[in-house]
Amino acid sequence: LVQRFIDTARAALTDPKGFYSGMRLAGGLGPPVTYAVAGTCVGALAGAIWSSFASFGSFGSFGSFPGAGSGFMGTLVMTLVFGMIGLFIGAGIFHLMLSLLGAARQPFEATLRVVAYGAGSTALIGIVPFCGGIIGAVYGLVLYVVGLSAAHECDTTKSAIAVLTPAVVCCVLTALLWSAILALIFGAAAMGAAGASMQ
Amino acid sequence: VTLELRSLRRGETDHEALWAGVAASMAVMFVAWLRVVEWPPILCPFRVLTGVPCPTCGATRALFAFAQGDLVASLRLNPLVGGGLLLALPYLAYATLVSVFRLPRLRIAQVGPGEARLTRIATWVVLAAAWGFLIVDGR
Repeated sequence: LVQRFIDTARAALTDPKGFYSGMRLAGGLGPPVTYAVAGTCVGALAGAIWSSFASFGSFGSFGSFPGAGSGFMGTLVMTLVFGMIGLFIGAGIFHLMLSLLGAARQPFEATLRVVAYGAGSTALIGIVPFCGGIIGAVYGLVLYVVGLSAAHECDTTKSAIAVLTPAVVCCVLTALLWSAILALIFGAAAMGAAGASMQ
Repeated sequence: VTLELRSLRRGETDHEALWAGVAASMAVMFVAWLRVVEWPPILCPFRVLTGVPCPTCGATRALFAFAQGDLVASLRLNPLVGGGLLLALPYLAYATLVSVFRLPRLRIAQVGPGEARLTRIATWVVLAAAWGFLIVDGR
């Protein structure tokens, strides 16, 4: 099972076009969602470990979750929960955009499969310390563009518009991402200053 | 457009259970957000760069207003979010009902090409109008 997971991740990350061209478009949401959960678990675990090493607490200065157990567990739980909700909401937005562009030639399940395999695979890049999450998020967009184009048999321009328009125009998520990045930068700077004053 | 009321087919996506579950999870997260998390004020990069609000500007405030029962304020803060939430409520009630009692589901059986095109155009117009309102209203 672990070997199959690794093979799937490798295929999606290294040959997205081939992977998504051969992907089944139906067969239930169970396998792709399970794959996304597994990938997100690994990525969230790695992210939580790096986060606790950086001693930012949960989400750094971005927000704290005392009720969820601060630090390691808080980061882990919240990443998983947000990841799963985001999976369905993201797939819904992409499918709506494809429908509005007249490019949705497959049912919602196909879109969700693309997003789930993309998210599960790119979450693994979170293993890379600190910048892994950002790299994974950006590469995820690439996988979605390629995957939606292959699954819905539409041209890449339309799938790129479907994926990038919400990211560019709907700024709430973008703002949250930038807030996280800024919190990370200022948190690191504050740590550096504290370290220097201790010496 | 032809609608039909039928049982779920084998392997078919259970949209009602899926979206009712997602909505319930989001509601729990929203309550947690209100009670526990201290978020910084959200600065919209689109607004900073262009000087005009993005289509989702005011979404959070609209959500808060809706949660407090102030529908007018919610619609004015962001018509897309306020209107979306207003439309989502009856759908979620239906989705919960048919999921819990395993009732037949309402499905679109057939859509003509002209109707599909008209729906797409109407949706784009609604999205543009909602965005235009935010710009004109000076949000």
